[in-house]
Amino acid sequence: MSSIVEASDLCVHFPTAGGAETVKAVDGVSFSVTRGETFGVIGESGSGKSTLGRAVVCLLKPTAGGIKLDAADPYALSGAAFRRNRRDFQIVFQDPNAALNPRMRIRDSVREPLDILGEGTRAERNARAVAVLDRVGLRAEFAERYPHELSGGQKQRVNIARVLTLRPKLVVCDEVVAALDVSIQADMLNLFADLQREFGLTYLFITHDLGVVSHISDRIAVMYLGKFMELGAADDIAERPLHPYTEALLSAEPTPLPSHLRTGERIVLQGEIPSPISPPSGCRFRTRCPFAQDICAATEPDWREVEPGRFVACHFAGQVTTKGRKAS
Amino acid sequence: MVTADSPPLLDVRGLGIFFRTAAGEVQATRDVSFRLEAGERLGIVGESGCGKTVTGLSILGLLPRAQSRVVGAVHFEGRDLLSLSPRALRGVRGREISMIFQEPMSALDPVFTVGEQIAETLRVHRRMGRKEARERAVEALAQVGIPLPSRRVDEYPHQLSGGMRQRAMIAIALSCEPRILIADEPTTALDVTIQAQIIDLLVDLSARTGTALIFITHDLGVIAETCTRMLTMYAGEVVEDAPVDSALERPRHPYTSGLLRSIPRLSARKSLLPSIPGRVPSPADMPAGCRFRPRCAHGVAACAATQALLDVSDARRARCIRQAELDLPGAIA
Repeated sequence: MSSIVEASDLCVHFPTAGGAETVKAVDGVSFSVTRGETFGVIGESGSGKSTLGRAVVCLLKPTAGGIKLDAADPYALSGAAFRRNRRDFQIVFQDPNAALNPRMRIRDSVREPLDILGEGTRAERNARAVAVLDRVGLRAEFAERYPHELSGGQKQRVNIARVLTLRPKLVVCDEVVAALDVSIQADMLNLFADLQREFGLTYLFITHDLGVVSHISDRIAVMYLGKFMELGAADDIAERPLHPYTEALLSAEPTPLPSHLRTGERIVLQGEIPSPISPPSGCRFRTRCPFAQDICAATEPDWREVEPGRFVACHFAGQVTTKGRKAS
Repeated sequence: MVTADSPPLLDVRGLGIFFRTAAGEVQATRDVSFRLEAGERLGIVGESGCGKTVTGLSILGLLPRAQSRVVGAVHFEGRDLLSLSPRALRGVRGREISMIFQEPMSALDPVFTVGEQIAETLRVHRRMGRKEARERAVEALAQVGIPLPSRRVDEYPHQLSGGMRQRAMIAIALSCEPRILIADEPTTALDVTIQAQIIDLLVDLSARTGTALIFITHDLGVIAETCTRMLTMYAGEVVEDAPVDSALERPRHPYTSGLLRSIPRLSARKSLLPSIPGRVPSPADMPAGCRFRPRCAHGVAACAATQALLDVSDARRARCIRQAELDLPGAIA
């Protein structure tokens, strides 16, 4: 199995408005995404997960570290080759409304990526757009409509259709089901799974919803303030978290279970995520960590492989978690 | 539950909400009836467009009068809130019954400090003086867990984070110690760790002050952790009314069951999620008979008739003619 994305010590920093300070949105993450897998990224707002997603599809250029897509450094390619390769790496965003031009018919929006590439005749491109719409569950009549005539779930299907026209290898899904009602969300997650099987897609699935991420992912990375805290197989992360932040996140998620079946008490983290302009010294999570010791402020924990394929950045990984958590 | 000798704190009966649209009048809710006891925490759950928010707004007379019409009755302390004058209603709002919303930034006034906004409520309803109101505002901020309340009281909403703004909203809503707090998706815009803090805060305050909660949300997990009883709404009707644990364990309406089954957390990883086919009908195009029938896997001929909310037991009701015979999967299949 080969890697489709390889990030090494990837950083994306932004200057603040005055330029005096730096927002360290992504501040040194290393990982690889295997062809055909679903790689989930969870974290709170401000953890840098969307910035990471954008860096993977070259919408943002890394300020340090490197990224390889299909074993090639995209920024070493010529302009034409860069654009050619880019079609293989697509992104779908959270807000299905903002991603569609309200003045374009659905068919035209879906066809637009093909127009830009200039593939085939206009009639062929139209036929392909309609075929892809059909694949995501939208009948041909939807092709003639405008975005305001569609529901949120239908619009999100259109956004998926328009990246599928390009036959991408990898799709970054940035909170793609967050705006949808739960029954519509279930339909969409089923659709993502179908499309993955059919087209051999790889997903980088970004979400703040633990239920969603652990349902769809093969592996999960937990992000906090620009860094990964933990990375491992979805089952392991959900059932045996080794990092106190992962455990707190899992326990904060409200579970729709009768009271006698809810596991243990919640770990309610104090405070909020600190500013990415000046993250805490040492371990970034220490200011909210119930187990923080002196060493956590003094030394940044290494990103270490504690078990094959299981990475964690905590001085006390696995020693301090108060309980395991059984998935239902 | 309800005893004959003590009337409930809030008694909503046959609430029907109509909106005037260009295409004529449409009915957003029909025959919404429920009771709320003192100190109770009631969750109202359902998908977008099921009538949860308008039900909350109608209780406080917050629907636009020119474009809407409300029938039925909302009894609160011997009065029907629906028949009160705007002036009398202002005496209830914020004082006896308060409301908080999903987006605190659009509910807070950006040009006044948080303290001024809490003080305003106290000065209007409690006729407090400036100094006393300010002192009470600091206490209110402390009560909702805002650090350094004596400094925060002079800050403007934009200086606070999303979670702190929602705390400030709660502080305003609870400043007059209302009997009922209506919270409409108060944690939806927040991160899960902040949501956990707000849920704890609301449950704790409700237990300490005896304020009853109406918690409107689409998230059954939030209901499970916050409420004692839940009302499932579908297409403008109450389809199930039950204690939370019983509804989660054994729902009596196929819609409640469908909502529960479509939650990813409750299914095996990578498996096909059971979803509810179709979508919520629009108020202008309601199916006749049981409104859930076009999406229901259990329909029979009798579902073509309008369905009543049937008693399942003393504490439970369901709007399904087959409620007694169906064995519907809940949170645990």
